[in-house]
Amino acid sequence: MSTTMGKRAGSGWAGVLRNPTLMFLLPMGLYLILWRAIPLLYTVFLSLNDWNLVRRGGARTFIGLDNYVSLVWDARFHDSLWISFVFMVVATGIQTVLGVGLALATDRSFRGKSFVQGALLLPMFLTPVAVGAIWYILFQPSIGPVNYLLSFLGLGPYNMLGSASTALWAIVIADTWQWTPFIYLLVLSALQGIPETIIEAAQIDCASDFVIVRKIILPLIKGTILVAALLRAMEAFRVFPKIYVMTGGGPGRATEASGILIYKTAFRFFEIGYASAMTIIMLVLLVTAYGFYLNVVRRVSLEY
Amino acid sequence: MSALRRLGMLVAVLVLSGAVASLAWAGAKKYEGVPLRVMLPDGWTEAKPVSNLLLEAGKILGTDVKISWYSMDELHDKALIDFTAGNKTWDILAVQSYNRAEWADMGLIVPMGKYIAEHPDVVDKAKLAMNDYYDISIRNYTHKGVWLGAPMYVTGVALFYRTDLFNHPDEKKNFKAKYGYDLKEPATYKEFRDIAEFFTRKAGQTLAGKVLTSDFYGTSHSDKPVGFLWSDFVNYLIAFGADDVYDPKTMRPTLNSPQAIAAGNFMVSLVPFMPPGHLNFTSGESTAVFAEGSVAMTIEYFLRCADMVLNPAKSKVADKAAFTVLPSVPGVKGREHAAHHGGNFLGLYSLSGNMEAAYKTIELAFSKEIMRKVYIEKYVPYGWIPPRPSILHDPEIQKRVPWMKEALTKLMDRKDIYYFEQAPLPEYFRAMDAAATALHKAMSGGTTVDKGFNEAQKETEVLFKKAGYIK
Repeated sequence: MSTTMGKRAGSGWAGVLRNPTLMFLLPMGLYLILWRAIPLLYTVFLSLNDWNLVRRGGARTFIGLDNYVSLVWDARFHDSLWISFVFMVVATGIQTVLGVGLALATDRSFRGKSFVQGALLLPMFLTPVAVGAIWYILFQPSIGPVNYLLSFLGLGPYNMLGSASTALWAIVIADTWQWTPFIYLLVLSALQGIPETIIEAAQIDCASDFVIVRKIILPLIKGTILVAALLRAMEAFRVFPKIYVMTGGGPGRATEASGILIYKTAFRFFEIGYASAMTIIMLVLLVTAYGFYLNVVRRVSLEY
Repeated sequence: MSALRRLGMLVAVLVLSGAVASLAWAGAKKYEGVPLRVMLPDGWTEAKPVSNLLLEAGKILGTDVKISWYSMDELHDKALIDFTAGNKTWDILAVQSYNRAEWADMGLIVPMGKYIAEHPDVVDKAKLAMNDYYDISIRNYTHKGVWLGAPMYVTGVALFYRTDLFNHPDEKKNFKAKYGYDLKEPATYKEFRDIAEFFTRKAGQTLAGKVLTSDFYGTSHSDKPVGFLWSDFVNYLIAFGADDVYDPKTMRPTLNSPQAIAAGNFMVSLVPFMPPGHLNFTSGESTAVFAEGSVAMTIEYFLRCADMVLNPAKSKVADKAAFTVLPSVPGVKGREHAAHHGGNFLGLYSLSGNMEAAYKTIELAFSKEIMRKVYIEKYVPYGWIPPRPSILHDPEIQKRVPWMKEALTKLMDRKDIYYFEQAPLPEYFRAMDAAATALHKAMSGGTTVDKGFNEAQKETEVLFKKAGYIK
């Protein structure tokens, strides 16, 4: 078919312009090439160079895979990947549990339902920088309300952002506040798609609420939960603005996730080649996760 | 002389005056309408006054001065990225002292001294008045023998303390009983630490005869990594006899030298006497804590404290705050009262398409006349400290700025203060990042100074090897 169309339409750009299928694909193709493929290929190219904007007048030298070899031995980069991974697992885990719990709790009629649902979704509409700034103030040991409450309860004040053992947790709390609504929203829509008859049948069989949730509802929405969690996980792995605002990667390097390290390497130390290599490794990890995500989506669609 | 002859002379004088005036006008308006894009850091105390200097000069020269404000980090990043991309967007920009070598070496700025040497016909030496700056202002902003740009203010870091606490009879008595010497301005860092420890109290305890309703702290520093923390720490580093990151003779990093580790340990020993949250304090936040009356002493840039602490409109302790030089470390010769001068300067962006207009605008903006006018009209008595000594010694200024005479005697004109500037090295920022991050970790209890600085040393050695300074 395409061969026939190709022959009929002619070859080269003229052919493309006369071919409706190719014409419709052209804008997206151009977009992908200009905004995705070229920057990606350029980043790959940069990752093969030693390019420091400050040294040697900003001259670039091709060094092959040297940057990648250096990354293999770069403990700071490994630490940053580990921090990103821990943040991703912990934040996504908490957000998933809370999101599902809230969706189950609010998926029924009650007074003020619209208000509660609206309020729950609100943080999601804020920018991560604003969320970071809000929580930075909330956690402030002298004037922050969190510490005021802790002191009131006789538990503080505690400098969460100033301690290496708690700073990442403080960022997890801020991230959870912002992104639990995302999981909540997806799960709620899945819950609303469950036919009432299934639940009614279970109730007629005298199944308890707990049994209904565990044996009927959760299996029916597990695909959505998985997809929502995977989407959040991929985002969480790239966390940047909240850390930048709340701790700048500190104390020490306790919250220096990969995004922060790449930013520092590129825009503080101006090691563009090295930062590009880090970016490519991050990308490979995320593409792997995305492949897993697509696999899950495919399996879930087959189940339905 | 006949009336006709007198009339002729009068006409000649008038014509001549007219010609001179039009020449002057033509000169002044040579830059009429030339757009000048200026990049300034939002939040620096000196940035607003400097923007007003430029606008004032722009009005006279006719240049169209447009100021863009960025945060300190954004300004740094944007300038470098724009320069690398070849963007000619900017004409004038503020340069932070520790970036001066980096920016000068990579050609982002045209050193003012170089421009002046290459364009003698453009320069008005009377307005430039290089002899009307403090030596430190010229020395700090000279790199490889060339003057880089116009200093935006004068004075470095100073010690601010609470006179009501230091002079309180009970406190004096208790201090002497505990430490065995009189409570006074600290002359050494050991005394500084003693005083910080002494004044750290919990809510419910008594301070200067009053029961505290909230915790009170001995000292406050801006410990947010990396720039803020390092700007504070570098005073200790130099006072304790360490190099600033590396030994300039051998070019070898010296972050793990015994002196550097001693300075780091001293900084960590102050942690119990600082307010909670100090690890994330910016310079403004640290000063604000002192200004609101929660701290006995702070070490901060005089310029910032003059605005935030001595100003009754912004400070609860304006009438009970005093300032002095920083303490010293006994036995470290030649580094008495070591204080980071800091400060920043206004430079010429090398890709500017309007370099001459940019230079003339800076030259006029920083002339004594414009500087004095803007200072008197807008920033007397608290908002700024102009860099020209002739203005600071001006009797009218001294009359209108209550603390000026004392500041001149104790800080600006004093000869025994070891004012220093951060080392001029393109790799400085990265080395500073390694060391400040280690120190921050040590201050939060995550490591020891010894271990942290040894790791930072290794990281900096790799960096210096890559840069070709060492093998």
